[in-house]
Amino acid sequence: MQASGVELAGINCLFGQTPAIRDIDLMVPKGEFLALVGPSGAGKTTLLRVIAGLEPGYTGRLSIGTRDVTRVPARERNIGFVFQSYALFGHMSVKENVAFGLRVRPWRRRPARHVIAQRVRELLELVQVAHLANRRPGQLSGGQRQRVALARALAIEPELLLLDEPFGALDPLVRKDIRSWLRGLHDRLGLTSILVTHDQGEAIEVADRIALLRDGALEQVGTPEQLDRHPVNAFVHQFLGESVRFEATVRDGRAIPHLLEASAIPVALPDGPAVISIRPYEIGLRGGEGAGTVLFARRIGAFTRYEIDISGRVIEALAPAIDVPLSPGARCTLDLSRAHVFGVAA
Amino acid sequence: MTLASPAPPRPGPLATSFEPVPGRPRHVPPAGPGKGHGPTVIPGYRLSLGITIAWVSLLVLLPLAALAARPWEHGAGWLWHSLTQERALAALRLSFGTAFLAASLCTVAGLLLAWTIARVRPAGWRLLDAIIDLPFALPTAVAGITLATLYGRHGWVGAPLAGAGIKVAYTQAGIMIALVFVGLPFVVRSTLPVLNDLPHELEEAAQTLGARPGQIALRVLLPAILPALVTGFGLAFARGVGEYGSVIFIAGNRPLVSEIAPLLIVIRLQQFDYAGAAAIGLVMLLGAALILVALSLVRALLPAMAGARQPL
Repeated sequence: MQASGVELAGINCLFGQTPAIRDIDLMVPKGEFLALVGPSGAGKTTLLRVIAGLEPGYTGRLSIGTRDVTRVPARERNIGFVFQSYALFGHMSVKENVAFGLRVRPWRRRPARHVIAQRVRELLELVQVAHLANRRPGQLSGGQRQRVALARALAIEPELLLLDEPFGALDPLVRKDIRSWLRGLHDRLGLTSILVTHDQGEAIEVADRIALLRDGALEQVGTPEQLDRHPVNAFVHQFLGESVRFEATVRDGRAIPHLLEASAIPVALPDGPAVISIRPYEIGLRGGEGAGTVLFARRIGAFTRYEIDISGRVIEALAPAIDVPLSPGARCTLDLSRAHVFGVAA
Repeated sequence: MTLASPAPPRPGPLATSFEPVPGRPRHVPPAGPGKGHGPTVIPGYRLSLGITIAWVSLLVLLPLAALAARPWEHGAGWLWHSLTQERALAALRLSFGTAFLAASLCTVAGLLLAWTIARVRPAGWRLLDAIIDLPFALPTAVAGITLATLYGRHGWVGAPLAGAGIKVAYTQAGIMIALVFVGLPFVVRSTLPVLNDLPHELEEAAQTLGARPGQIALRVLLPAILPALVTGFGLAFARGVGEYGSVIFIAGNRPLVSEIAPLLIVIRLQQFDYAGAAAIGLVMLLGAALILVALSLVRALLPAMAGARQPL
């Protein structure tokens, strides 16, 4: 299967007067699994539809492989698209759904009848629903429909596979299963895939790289590790996992969190307002004196979960369960030295 | 007399209509306590079933049975003679033939209209949507007189047509116009909701799979709305067979040429030939019933209806 990269240059897309996609430059190399994440309304699906050619009113340049497809209609882009709703054809059997993309080809490029039948059989085996070939989509479960939708998209040997929240309608257990299976399939077939999801955990688990969108613009693109270790701003840090946020002021190379002056941390930022963002498990707790009061403590597996009151504000912290536990009512100091500090442009 | 009696509604899961689907263990409802038919969300299952049966018996079956019994009073030979008169045969042929053609025309035009309203959404589509139902509201005689005036030799449409050598009023073409007028709303009303509910993603999926617009229309959209189209055709046809008021003014009513069967019934009634009138009525009833049953069979066999009995 010929898989090629995708390149987006200066893509803009308007919905009426409001920009839905703003100045997106993105390069997805051949064979990569990219996850497009962001809060709802960030433009993830719109961007996916632009790439597929289903959103006609955009500007910029778009190429798939070596081919400039900016002005190429959807049906000639050779893209596999799996819709959130699966969009299976209800009046066709599973077999006919998968064969559709081959049957509608102009006769010169259309494979012979038995070749199509053979290919459909292979694909249904590949997605593990061969025994359902003669069923109707209405008779399938969500997970089965998803597999059929995927088989249908793969039937045309797409250069690029686009997946719009394909796991959204599945229950969590099936979801996890199908996710790792999909990743395996991607590697086996050497596909280039772009997955839209609002679930950062899903993206971290399945993708080579993550592109984080906010308000139609790209915030950061990188491997899950890069995004976790070196987030470019507080939004990226907060989106990728649970975090606790403190407003702070930078003075003389130290970021001083409000209400927590004792927890100041050294930073290389100019003086001015800043934001401190830290994962609950990165907060260091020391009993004794301090600005925090333990309200609640409960051991959950390998961690002890604390609720800590800081002058009326309650934050959450996770400490290794092997540490000496603090009891409710105890005073504590908070060590924020592992936090990320972001300057706030005035 | 209108034969467009809708198929009696089926209340809840009747024992005969509930067959478990092989190979599909999900959604098999557990037997409800003391019902024997499985559970139903409608309270008063027996009551509603009773009312339905009583309703169908009293208002549909009883009058039809009376109609069916009437023409035999002079014996079968007489009945045969009464029906095989050239005038009766011509009237029946005319009624069924024009109704069939008109329903076909309505199906094509109604599909176009429904498509325009649902997908093209021209400015003022809401008004268009409302206007479509007007033939329902208009007394059929008013419609008939209006059409006859319009298409008559001096009418706004009839005069230019007459100039071109085309005669519409007082011919079979006139009957067709009246039937299309009253039949069109049935097709639009049965098709429009289905078109509105058809997800755009189906078309988009077909596009990404390489289908051209014509292929999308024929292979994806048409099969999905075909059951609704067949229903609309059936309703328009049944209405057309029994249509009286709007037709008699524009038809000219010449025996053997443009005399429709319902009119012949009225004529026989005026001649106190009650059995003869009932005979024609019986044939129309049987014909319409046959066609409606055939259409519902066709509908059930359409690909879009496969698996429709199963909930999603």
